[in-house]
Amino acid sequence: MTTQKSCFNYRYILLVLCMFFILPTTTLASSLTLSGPEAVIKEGYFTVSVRANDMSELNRVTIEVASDSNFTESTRQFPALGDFKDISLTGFSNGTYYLRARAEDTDGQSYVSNTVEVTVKHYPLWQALTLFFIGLVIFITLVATLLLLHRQWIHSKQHKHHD
Amino acid sequence: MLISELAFEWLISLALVMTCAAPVLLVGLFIKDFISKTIW
Amino acid sequence: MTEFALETSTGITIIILFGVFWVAFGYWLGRKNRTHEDFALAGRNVGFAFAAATAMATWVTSNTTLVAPQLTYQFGIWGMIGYSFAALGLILFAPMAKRIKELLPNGYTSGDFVRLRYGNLAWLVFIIISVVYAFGWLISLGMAGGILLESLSGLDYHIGMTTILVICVGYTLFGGMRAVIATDFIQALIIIVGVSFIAYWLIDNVGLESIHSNLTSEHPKLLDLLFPAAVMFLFNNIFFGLGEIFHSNVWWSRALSFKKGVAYKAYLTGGLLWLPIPIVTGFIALAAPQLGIFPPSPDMIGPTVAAAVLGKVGAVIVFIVIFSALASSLDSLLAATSDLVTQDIFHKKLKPKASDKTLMRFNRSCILGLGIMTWLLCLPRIATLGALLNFAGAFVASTIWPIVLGLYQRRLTGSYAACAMAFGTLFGMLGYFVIGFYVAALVSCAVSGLICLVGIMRSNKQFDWNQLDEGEQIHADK
Repeated sequence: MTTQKSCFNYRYILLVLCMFFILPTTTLASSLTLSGPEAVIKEGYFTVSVRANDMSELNRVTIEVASDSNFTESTRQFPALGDFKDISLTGFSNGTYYLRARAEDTDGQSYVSNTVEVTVKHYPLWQALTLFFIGLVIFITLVATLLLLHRQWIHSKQHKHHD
Repeated sequence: MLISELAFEWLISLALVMTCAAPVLLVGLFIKDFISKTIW
Repeated sequence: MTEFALETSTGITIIILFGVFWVAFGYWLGRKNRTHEDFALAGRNVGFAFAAATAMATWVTSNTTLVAPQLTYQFGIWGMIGYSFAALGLILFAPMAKRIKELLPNGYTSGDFVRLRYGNLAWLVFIIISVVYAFGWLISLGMAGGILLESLSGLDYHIGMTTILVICVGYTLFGGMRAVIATDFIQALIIIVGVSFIAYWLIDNVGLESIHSNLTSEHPKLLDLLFPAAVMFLFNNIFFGLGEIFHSNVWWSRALSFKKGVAYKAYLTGGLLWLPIPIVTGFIALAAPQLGIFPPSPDMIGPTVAAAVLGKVGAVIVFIVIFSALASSLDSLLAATSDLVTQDIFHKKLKPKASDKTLMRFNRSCILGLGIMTWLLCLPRIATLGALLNFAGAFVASTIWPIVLGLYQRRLTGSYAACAMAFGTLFGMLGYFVIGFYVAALVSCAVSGLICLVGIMRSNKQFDWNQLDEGEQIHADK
């Protein structure tokens, strides 16, 4: 089972290496489209999808994420699962991110998609904490009410037994 | 503020141990009920 | 070409084996059922072991195995801790269950209580809330079943969904509450063993340390204890869970079916047993980035990781665990909802003189009818119907205060309770659409609480608890 896992990672490492060294020279940007969220992301997660215009099948779909539009700074690779064309990405901090997709067709010809810009801006912390404390107050009130009323009942029951 | 590695390890390990204890407890209770004929 | 974690034939074999087993088991348990009380409430004599297991297993819905990893994948550490706080619903219901069992020694449903305690208007509002919630849940379970079986084994959505419904309706029909509770016990064991195995395997092979360091460098937000969105909906989630448990007949009928003195400790134990499970299932999602797994949609993350790391074995385990989780909730919901319809609508409103035999027959047809309706609603596979459950939070959270106060407080009257539930729901929905999903249950609970407070301050009536016990009246009817 362990070998299975390392194979899994190894394959993607190979894929990533391929993309860095060979693929950029033979790309046709026109036939691969990446679409992402339009609005500002407030929760740090979003889903992007890759569509191919004139290809029946896509292999090795990978999303590249970078913090600049030239994809020179801190580029990260996210491989798609199996032959799915949608990828859910998560855990992004505040900032603007640039995304593009890479894929191969059945002949091994590789493609790069358009670049999508995604802005992540989390809710302000004061807003989150306000809601948190409102919730906390209602919750404490509820628990206290329930436990007090329950105790009163238990006491009155014992009282009746003593009479 | 990130959760520290130690807290993370404890959280997951504790949850896993508690989860594993559950079936033991449930089967134990069942045997007790079964012996004292109080299942239903 | 789509690769599935499991061959379709393997998937079908597992389903058929389990299906035959559950139905036969249900039939075997059902032989004991003599009266409607036997059928609907397992003779009101369920022992501690089954009681604790059924409380836990029913709360382990498909959501615990799917949504807990999803929330963890999206919100990180708070996603799983927040989800595990739903155990508070079970824990807080424990004292109430004791009270319910003593107040309504002959009661059948939560609707019974609301009608006797608050009268017809509040009863009507309550039934609408219950039905909306029950159908939302039933449909989401049915659809989740079909979609999951399809994504794991390539089994056609309609076949998968139909099979799950047929199996659950089948054994509930034969065995009634006894079958529901006994199957819950076994399903609980399967679920726990399955998820623990997967989590243990991940810890052993990937390591907690490397998962933590990978997340710290690549997805630090997931380890952030001050993740705004996650902090924001924490209590909303809790109120949703409380509302679900406090109002739903699924939990009331269980409290009523337990042996005397068992209800309190059973719910408490069930809650404590449930508490760590979302953390374990959620943890599975945290390992995903380290393994290079990025799913097509976040709700697929749990099964995907398990199937990816464990291969065939993992896929089989996931398949069985999810199948069990779906079944343990679906059967409870079918049984509890048909009890509600049989008792509250048929027996109390339409045919007060119905004999025990008629009631049992009607209850059975109700289970079948609900199954068919759920099946019809699941047929089109409209994802938006499943999303119904998202704003169900506004509905159920409005019942929290009226139920708690109704059980213990003599001054709250029916009209205020009806208002609290109606306006709570209304404002909760408003909050959902105007502000966001993360306030629906919170607003609903707050508004209904305020109305209840006004109701208690302004009322000078004292409810007589003896009005709740209809025991003799039922016997006179026979």
